[in-house]
Amino acid sequence: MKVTANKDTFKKMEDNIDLDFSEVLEGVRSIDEVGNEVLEEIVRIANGKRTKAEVYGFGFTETVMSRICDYV
Amino acid sequence: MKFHGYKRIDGKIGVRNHTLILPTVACANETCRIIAENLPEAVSLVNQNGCGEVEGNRQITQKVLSGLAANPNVFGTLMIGLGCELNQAEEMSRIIRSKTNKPLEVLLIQEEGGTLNTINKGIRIAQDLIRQASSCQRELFDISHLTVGVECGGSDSTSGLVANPVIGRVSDLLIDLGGTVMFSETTEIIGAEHLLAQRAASPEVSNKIFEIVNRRESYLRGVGEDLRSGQPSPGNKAGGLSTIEEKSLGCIHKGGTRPIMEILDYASDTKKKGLVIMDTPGYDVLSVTAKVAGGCQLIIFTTGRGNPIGNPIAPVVKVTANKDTFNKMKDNIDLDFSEVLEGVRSIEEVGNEVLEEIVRIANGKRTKAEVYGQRLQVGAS
Repeated sequence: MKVTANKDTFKKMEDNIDLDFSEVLEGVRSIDEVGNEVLEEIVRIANGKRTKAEVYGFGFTETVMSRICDYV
Repeated sequence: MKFHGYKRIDGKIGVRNHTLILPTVACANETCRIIAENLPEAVSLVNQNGCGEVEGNRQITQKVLSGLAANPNVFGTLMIGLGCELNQAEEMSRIIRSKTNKPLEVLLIQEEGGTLNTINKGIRIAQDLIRQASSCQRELFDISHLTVGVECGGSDSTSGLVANPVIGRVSDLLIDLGGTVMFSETTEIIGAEHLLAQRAASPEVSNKIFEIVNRRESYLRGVGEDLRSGQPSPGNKAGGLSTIEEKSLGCIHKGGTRPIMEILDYASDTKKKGLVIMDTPGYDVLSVTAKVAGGCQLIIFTTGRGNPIGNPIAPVVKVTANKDTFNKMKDNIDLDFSEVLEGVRSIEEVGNEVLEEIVRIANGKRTKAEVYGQRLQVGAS
């Protein structure tokens, strides 16, 4: 689930970003208020509601893991 | 001997005519994959790197990605960046431009407004590149324009006895005709380095062979890895290879018997013709990627236990002398040399035929991995 507080970015990349917090940046809403709502949204997503990335089927090539050394 | 290839505007000769959709960073992988899935004639690859890297690793990422774009099998590249990554598309473009003047287009996901907009625009740009590529015609070139990478993976006792010697015969033939053969996998030279050093074309090359083996062995010892006891892999041991020295003695056969002209750094272009060695780890996907980034147009891959890998840019011809493996993994393995193991046919006879098959593949005949569409498999150190 991807979130941003940058309104321009949200508008430009609406297909990729799930939630827009720009109203907090603009002083219209508080961090606590929006935070409470996000928790409810997280529960809905845990219950099965799909994120945008899930609906579009993104993720197949997005696994990366750390190495402590070059390969053998 | 000649083959039909594509002449690129940078003067190199390709055996395939790909339009490459190249991600600068892992965040651009999915956008590239989806663009390539919508265009059957485009290829893409999975890039695990491009951000969160130390300077030395960033340079490796840039070297490999630019080498892949510059490979003669690529007509042109559509590079996709995210925008905020360490491996900036602008710098990548400059590096690619320093290696080749082939068509290069760039899109940034953050500038285009997300994945869907980038896919939409990217498909149109790639479509145009593919139509330009499709007007290139194959022409006849001397076989000396071929650089073939030789790789072995999933080795067993049949690899060193037959599959690698047959490919060694092909290497010798190709080199005698003026071509270039590149082998790599430094960790699979360990224990046989003194034999290769005897074939070095100069004292510098001989010293460098010992140097790359020592460097890799002591580097790995630094993280607690004793190669001489940790290798061969469990599958190699089950296949009858007892020690890394035994594995190495079999491995080096695939390079044939001609003088070693040059030792290349990881993913570097060869300057010499003839037999060259690239310093890479033995991990097959990674080693094949490095050789393709270093300009190999075609890879011959010997196996005993069986291996399924392909490559998005270069055809990978897989061969085995283990009849059971061939029968078990027929969908993955192109050629069966088991008649040599059975004593029915000779290494020379089969080697001569394989060279002809390699020319057919260079001319356009598809490997099994190509037909099945294995188009995303690469790896970088």
